[in-house]
Amino acid sequence: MEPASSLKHTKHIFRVSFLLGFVLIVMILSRGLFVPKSWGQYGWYRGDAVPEHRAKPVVHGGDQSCRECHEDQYDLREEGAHVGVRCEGCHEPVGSHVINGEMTAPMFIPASFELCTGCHRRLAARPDDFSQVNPQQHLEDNEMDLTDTVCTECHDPHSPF
Amino acid sequence: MGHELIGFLFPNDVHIHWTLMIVLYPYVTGLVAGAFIVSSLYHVFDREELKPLGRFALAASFCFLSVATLPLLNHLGHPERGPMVVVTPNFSSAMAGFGILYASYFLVVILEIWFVFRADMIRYAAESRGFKRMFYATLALGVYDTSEEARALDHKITRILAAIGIPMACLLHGYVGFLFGALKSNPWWSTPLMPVIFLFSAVVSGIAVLIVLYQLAMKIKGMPIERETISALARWLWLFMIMSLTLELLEIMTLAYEKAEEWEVIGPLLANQLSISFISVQMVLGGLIPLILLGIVVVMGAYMDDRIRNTLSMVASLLLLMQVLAMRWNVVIGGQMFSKSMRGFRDTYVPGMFEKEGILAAAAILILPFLLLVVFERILPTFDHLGQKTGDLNLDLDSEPRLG
Ligand code: HEC
Ligand code: HEC
Ligand code: HEC
Ligand code: HEC
Repeated sequence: MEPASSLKHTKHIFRVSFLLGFVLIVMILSRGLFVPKSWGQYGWYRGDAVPEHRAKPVVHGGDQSCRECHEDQYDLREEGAHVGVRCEGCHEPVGSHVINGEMTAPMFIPASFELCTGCHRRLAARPDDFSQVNPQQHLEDNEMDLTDTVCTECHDPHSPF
Repeated sequence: MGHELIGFLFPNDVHIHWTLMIVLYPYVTGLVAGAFIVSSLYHVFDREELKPLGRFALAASFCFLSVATLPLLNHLGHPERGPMVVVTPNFSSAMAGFGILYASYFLVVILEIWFVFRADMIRYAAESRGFKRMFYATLALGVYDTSEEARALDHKITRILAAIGIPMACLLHGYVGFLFGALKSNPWWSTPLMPVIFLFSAVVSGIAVLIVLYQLAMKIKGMPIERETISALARWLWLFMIMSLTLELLEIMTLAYEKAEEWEVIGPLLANQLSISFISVQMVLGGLIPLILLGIVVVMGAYMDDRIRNTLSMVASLLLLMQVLAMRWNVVIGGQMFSKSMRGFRDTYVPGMFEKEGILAAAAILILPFLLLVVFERILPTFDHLGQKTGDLNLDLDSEPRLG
């Protein structure tokens, strides 16, 4: 075949290539629309995320922040097995309760056996020497029915024994 | 303060987060790869006995491909972000790698379909009017060249695309296996064999689904089921299922013989939690039995009544489709049944009926590609070129005598 006539029958190929090229260009151009401006400023994330997060109010205060007003529970916990479990781990961040030294809202009370079983339910993945119970078995052994507050009827959450 | 456990919450190693959807995802993707490879056996390697399926297999792999990411999109819950994988690519992400591979493979399949069916589109446009004509004309992108030269060119491009498609199909599905095989925290997944196992079982499921669909389609259309075609498919299926089963067993054997620390949990996993889905379904019902059935078809094929051959290969294919699904289940769910600490087991997983990722959603996703296939068949019939039309109207290339 001579080149002129072989090109004659390639119109459809040009057309489909054109269409493909068009889609590709639209895709490449639209990338700019979807990638946030500050992307990649420091790494594989939005640079603006840093100041945004920095501007958020601090809500956690640590155990010491509760101590000022709840000395009793703090001291109680110091003596018991829960000495390493943080107040805000069971309750909520201090910021939901106290702002600038003033109580703004009542603190959440985690009155549910799910709180305790979340840490103490027997699971294969937990170290053997960590205290775990099979909740059902434990309650049967102690002849109690399952209610939301059953665990705290015998154990003080701030000092379980 | 010096207390060891301050601020430390123990891991809650309880839930199975990768659900039925993550079982379906490699399953549907696997069907794509298998179907495409059958179509390529015809388009690239000129296996004449597979000619009746050359187009149909291509259409089937297109339909499965269209659905393959739905389980993932449903699981992640933000389908609108799906296309971002290709628009804003992240080449360091393994999962994004799948998206990019998937999209490029989709492109190859669509192009191949276009070149294979182009002459048909033009013919349908010429034969119809009004909206229908416009529709086919748009599909053909407005070029109506069905000359000898143009079709020869189409043919050549089809062959190139089909050839490019083979490694891509292998890569696509091998990659799904890689996604699991590369998770080094999980000994049930983390093996270099994983991509290979996934690839072979993908081809098995793809050929099996074609055997089922081909027989059904011929029944519906009242066309004869070609003996050569079924025999060839059964032979390929037998070969691939033997390899796939062997690899699956080899993996377990290695684990069992090495008896490294992970066997402490994988041994009981296979013996208890997975005893039904692995030993009974994946190995015996879906492995050994089809092995025997297909063995009969292959070895004694010459003396066999067509009816028996069709039935045997149909039953074997259905069992194998189940086997591959069970294999995906055993990998995906099985790998999450034991604690990451490898000291014991988590809760079992029973998918709910009406959950977002439950049985009903899974069934809908599994049915969808077949509905798509019916629609495809309406728009671009895949069997019509097999000598149904009269000579002069038929502009179809595939019905012409082949060279070489
Ligand atoms: C500025 C002082 C102050 C600080 C700091 C403070 N609280 Fe309180 N908290 C109070 C007062 C006042 C009450 C109300 C006492 C009452 O109702 O008897 C209270 C009540 C509570 C209650 C009971 C709520 C109820 O509904 O009965 C809990 C639980 C509690 N605080 C937890 C905490 C924890 C945990 C922290 C640290 C993260 C904390 N508080 C920090 C002042 C404080
Ligand atoms: C293991 C989880 C847990 C930890 C850790 C914990 N709490 Fe509590 N806290 C509870 C529960 C549960 C209750 C509700 C007790 C009840 O209803 O009997 C409670 C109740 C309270 C109350 C209401 C009065 C009371 O004693 O019933 C205060 C105040 C309080 N906690 C403060 C603290 C402070 C301060 C700390 C940290 C020093 C702390 N908690 C740590 C679980 C915890
Ligand atoms: C955030 C995790 C956490 C939560 C929630 C929690 N605990 Fe504990 N608990 C611990 C840790 C840590 C210890 C100390 C380590 C140990 O005993 O092995 C402990 C110790 C104990 C012990 C003492 C065991 C022993 O042998 O000395 C008891 C009893 C106990 N917890 C009961 C409870 C009850 C009841 C609750 C619910 C109100 C609860 N825990 C909630 C983490 C938790
Ligand atoms: C009837 C009172 C009672 C109730 C209710 C109860 N416990 Fe206990 N719990 C005990 C006693 C007594 C012990 C110590 C003896 C033992 O180990 O059984 C204990 C021990 C424990 C221990 C330490 C076990 C170990 O081997 O170190 C944990 C953890 C514990 N309980 C958690 C819970 C949790 C969680 C609940 C709520 C589901 C709960 N308990 C409810 C009485 C009770």
